[in-house]
Amino acid sequence: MWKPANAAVLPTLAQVLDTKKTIEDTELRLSEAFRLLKQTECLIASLQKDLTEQRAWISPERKLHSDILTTIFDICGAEDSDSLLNIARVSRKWRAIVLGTTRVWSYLRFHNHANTSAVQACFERSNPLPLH
Amino acid sequence: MPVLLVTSDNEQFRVEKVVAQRSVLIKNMLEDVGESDQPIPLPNVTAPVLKKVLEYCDHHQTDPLPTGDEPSADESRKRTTDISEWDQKFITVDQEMLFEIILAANYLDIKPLLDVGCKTVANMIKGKSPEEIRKLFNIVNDFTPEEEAQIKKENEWAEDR
Repeated sequence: MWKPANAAVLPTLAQVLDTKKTIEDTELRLSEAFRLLKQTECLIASLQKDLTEQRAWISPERKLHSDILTTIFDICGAEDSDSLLNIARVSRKWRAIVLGTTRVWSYLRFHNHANTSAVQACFERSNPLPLH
Repeated sequence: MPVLLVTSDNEQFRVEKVVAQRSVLIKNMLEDVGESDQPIPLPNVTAPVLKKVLEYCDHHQTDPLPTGDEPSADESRKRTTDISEWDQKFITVDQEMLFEIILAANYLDIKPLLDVGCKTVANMIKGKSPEEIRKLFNIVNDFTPEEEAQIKKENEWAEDR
């Protein structure tokens, strides 16, 4: 870390010129450090993406076929209807299963102030089953 | 009379018939072949998973077999709280083993075990955001930004409920 020769005394002309050169050098080093930081951030993001893909590739969840996932979503819907909305936003596969399972939508519960489009959407998705 | 089960990794398990017959698949196979000491191959189950499954079957060997026509059976199957203390302890395994048990229970047709597994996964999902669920099960978000926007729009009503 840089320190002045004597902080209590004003620098001489030679010291000012010398320090200006040092500042230029520090600016260059700082800019290089920022470049390396950006490069490292890119590397971290890329490694994180790889890690996500690698973990997903061997994830045991991939082995569960749609019948089993349907049973699980059915259980979720029967006890906590809000879970269905979150399940439908996890991945394309989960969304296709949960939207294709009419029974789960029949469990959605509404509060008194539920708007008609909410009820309508569930009614359409639960077709032909009645809402509970 | 004991039954000989052979796993996909060629390990042999000698178990009592009453235990093995908790599996409807094995029960039907035994009925088909009649009295025989022929080993029963289970090509979809590995030894560590079968060991766990047999632990469950052994503990529940005296339970009445589900007939499927009890009026409350369907509702009970969906209640995640309906997991006994022993079953809860039994199913406290890592995620890979949990999913393998579910797959084995499905293949071997052991409904009560399949229910315990599915209820456990349902409990893991409940109350979590989509991102938390993805992280938990290592699922990639494969929606395009356009699809995400569309889903958000579709679900806007949900926030008004």
